[in-house]
Amino acid sequence: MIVKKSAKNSVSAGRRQFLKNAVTLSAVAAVPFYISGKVLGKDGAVPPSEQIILGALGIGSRGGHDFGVFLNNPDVRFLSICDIRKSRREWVKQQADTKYGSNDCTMFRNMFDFYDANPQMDAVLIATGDRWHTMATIVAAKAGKDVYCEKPLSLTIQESRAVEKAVNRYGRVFQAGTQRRNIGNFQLAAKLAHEGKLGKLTEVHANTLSPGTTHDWLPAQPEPAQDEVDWELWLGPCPWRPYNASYISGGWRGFYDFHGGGILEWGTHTVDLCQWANQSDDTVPVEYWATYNGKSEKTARVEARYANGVKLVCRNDGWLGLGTCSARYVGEEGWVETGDSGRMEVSSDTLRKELKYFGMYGTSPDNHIREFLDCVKSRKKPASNADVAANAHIASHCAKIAWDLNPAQLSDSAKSFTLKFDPVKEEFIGNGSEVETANRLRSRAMRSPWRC
Amino acid sequence: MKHIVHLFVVSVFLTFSVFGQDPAWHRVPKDALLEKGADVIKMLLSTTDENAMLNIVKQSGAEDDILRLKMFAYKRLGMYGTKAAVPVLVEKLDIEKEGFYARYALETIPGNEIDAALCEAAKNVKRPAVLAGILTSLGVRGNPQSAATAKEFLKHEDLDVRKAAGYAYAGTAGDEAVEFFTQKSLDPALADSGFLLAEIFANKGEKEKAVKIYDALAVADIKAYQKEAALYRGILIRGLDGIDLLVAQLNSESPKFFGVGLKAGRELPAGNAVTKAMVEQLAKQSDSLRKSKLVRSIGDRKDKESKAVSLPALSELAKSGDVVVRVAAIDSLRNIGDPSVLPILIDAANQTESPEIAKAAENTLRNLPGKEIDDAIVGLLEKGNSVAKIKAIGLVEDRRIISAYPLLKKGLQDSDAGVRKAAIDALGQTAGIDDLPILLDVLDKAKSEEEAEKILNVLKSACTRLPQDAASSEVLKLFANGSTAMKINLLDLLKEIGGAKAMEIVNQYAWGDDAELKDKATAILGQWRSPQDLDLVAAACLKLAKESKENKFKVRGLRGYIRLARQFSMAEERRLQICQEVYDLANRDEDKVLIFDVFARNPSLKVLDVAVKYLDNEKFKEKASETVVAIGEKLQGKSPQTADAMKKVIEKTANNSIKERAQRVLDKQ
Repeated sequence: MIVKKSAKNSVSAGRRQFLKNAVTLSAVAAVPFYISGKVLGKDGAVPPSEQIILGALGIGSRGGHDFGVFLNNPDVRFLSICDIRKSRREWVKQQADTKYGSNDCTMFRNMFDFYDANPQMDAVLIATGDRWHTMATIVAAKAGKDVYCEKPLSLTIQESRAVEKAVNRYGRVFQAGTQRRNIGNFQLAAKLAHEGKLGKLTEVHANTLSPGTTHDWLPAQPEPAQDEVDWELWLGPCPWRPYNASYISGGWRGFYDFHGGGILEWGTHTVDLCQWANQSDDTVPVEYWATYNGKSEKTARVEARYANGVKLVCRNDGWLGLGTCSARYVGEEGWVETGDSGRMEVSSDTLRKELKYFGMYGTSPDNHIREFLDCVKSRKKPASNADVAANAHIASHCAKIAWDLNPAQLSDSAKSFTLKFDPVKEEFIGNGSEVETANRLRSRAMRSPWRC
Repeated sequence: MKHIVHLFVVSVFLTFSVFGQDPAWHRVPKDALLEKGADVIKMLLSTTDENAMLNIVKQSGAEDDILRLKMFAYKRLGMYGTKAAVPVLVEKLDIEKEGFYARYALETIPGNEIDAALCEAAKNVKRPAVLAGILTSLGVRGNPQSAATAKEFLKHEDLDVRKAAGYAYAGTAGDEAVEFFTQKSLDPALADSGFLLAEIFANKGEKEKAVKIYDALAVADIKAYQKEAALYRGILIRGLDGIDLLVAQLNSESPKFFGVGLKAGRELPAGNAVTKAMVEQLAKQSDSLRKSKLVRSIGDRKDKESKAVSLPALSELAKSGDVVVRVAAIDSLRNIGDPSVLPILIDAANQTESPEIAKAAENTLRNLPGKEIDDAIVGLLEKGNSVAKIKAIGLVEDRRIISAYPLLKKGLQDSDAGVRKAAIDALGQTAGIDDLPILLDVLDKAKSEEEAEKILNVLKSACTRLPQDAASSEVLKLFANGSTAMKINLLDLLKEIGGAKAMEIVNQYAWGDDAELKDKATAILGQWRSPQDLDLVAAACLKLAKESKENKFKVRGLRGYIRLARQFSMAEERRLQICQEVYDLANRDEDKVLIFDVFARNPSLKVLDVAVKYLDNEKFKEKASETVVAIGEKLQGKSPQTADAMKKVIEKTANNSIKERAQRVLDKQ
């Protein structure tokens, strides 16, 4: 047995390093090939016609990660940042200017000024808080920009469809930040379902988090100067409430006015994966009901049924530990489960022969952003285009509404009802006061001057 | 302020004496909710009676805490209100802040009365922002009776009001609005509403009206990108009648309009006429980059009906010519190719002049579906030269051609080193549990350091796909006669596999006699990755910490144990218990201090309570102060515990910077 002198070290670098190495391999297979400047005889330089002029709105922690990935693509030239926080504007500018050795990156607080000043911009990265995703996408589409927008895209069913309509109305290329559609293990799991390797599909399971949200307000604090943090713009289309610094630093999650709760937080990834596995990207489930196992939100489930009979289960317990944002597809002849670790589990040795090891973490947006950039040039619809994303979001919102109206929350003896949904009319149907209430929750008014 | 809120709550109490159970709110520990008005919210959650909600919105007061309760009542009215609520809600529309809440409720309540009331309010409100909001709500509701009101404001001096009026007019007026939105001098701010009107007609099947609007927008005095959009929609709405318009864009010199053509071309319905028209434009493209984009657009149509037109054209372009066009054609064959393209792809994959072409061909070969393609690849593996075999091995693995797996094992014996390497790689991706001994044997007989390292990585990838305990049992067999170096590698492999069996083997060596293996195995316990093995690894680390006779391994056990509390997901009680055990067992301060990092990473009021106790410990009071402040900074909302904790930090710490941070947290309580 030969052991390299450095073998101990190289092995102890372990899985993480190994995964890093493997990324290169999987990326080749997963990403649409696009021609490089070198092939065009430009000695590696990207010709101007193939360069994408990019701007960004609302860059926090996840946005910062996306921004870094965009910046590392040689055909991207970053131009301008729009953020209601001065500190974030300055951080982005510093990153971009350092990268280009210039002082060219411009900064804006208001998005209309941002678009007016940058007519040459091709595309924008939107990574604001969830409350702004719909409006920011609509405004970008109306300004003729292609959009990469982090998820969740919307706070309501109406907003979800409005994103799709705006993108298609203006012929824009749109990619939702549901990057698992461009990651090998999730692609293979969907493929096993699509090719009948699991037999007839019966259930799809989406890893979601606690669904509840609160209508409460945090205590008022003095508002900072508008140039430091523009509170009115931070609130945007949402109902007014007093300023509290916690919202600005990511503490907006869990508040109904700003966030869709745990089903939207992860369901926009995992319900999306289930929609894909069930080949129902163009529709949503037709029935929804909630269960409140053990009186804990951690074990709460919302279940749904598609018109083809397949059951969708949104749950946070009972997973195999294959990483965050897991999904499981169950057929009459077997099942597959996978998650962000890149690992996959299947029900039989026969299915195991179909597996590959991709070694790319599900949280990495690299392939997804690359696909978006390729599509900006080719004008193709990317994997997480607005049509696909809108339906995944609508399914998640229907599940959230089924949870919010779930009478099992109110008393131990109450049983959950089933909400029926017409995916064509996009309305809850049937009798009962809960149906009308559910329909009223499909949309929310926006503060003037915002509208879907 | 407290007095005002108290009066507010009491006035609500006087009206409603029966309160239901709080369904969800108690699970959200927001302190403001627990302080004041919680009973009002409980009451609102337990009723669908709009009078209960109206009684709250009628209360006077605009302080934040009152607005918070009112906002919730307005939201509930949005869910349960009826036309009876309209007079109260409309009254509120023009009030600062609260006006929007009233509209929030009104927008979803059904009934013509609501539209009529909003129209009336539109005439009376003073502030443009309020007027724009009302017009928007009329647009959302889409009641035709609101059209006349919307029309009144189409030329309003305020831009937001004009935009909202345009939106409401398009959403309510129907045929009457066509003339307005087809004016050449249409206000660019209202163009978006023109698109909305066209979509309404398109959805109703009134295609001619939609076409008329799109055509008018395409030549109106509006922004260039709005015109592009009008052209794009104009092509799509026409369907097969839009081919001429499509062709015009594909031959436009403007990259933007060319882009419109590429996008619309992809999305027009399947059919010979569209694909044929696009294929015909290929010859007219003098720029290779543009040509390549058109090739991709044709391929992306995946138009099986017109394969007779597209496949010969793209096959020809895949054979020779400009690299950028060739690569696009090879890529596109993935969508429309059949076995007839196999020779082209194999030639392209084997040529050495352009790595881009070779890579594109391999990608297409990986993804082109069909058993005939599988058979051809197996043929290459059986009869091809070494270069062809290497490519075929990769394709067998990638396409999961299970019937050819035995040939991969045969590749391990090939005289060509490249073929052997490719076979090892492929086996790593395809090996079942039965194949594991073969790979382990190859590892044992590796001919070079690089090969050994490579095989080890291949084994890891194989093991992560296999059932954990079965894979561990196979690995265990190699321990019997393996060298120490081999066993060290195998221990690492077990770490990747995880599970009970792997832990059992590692544990065995952690308590064994071989010093080198013991060192490796105890180190691995502190690196274990599988979250599902938490109980196993916790027990193993704790045993090492408690029972090992060597201090080095005791420390390893302790550090491995506290690492679980720091990194793994677990119940808070268990996390705190691990911290206590580590603190009690550790002999060295540098180990005891590790618990503070766990506290800081997992902030909660309970953790805060535990951390505060260490402020009285002379040795650790500074570290505890820093930790308590870090927790306080992360906790949301107010609590007496947080306030007390910060006061105690200020009293105990000698570090001014920590004192200042504690004071800042205290100020927010």
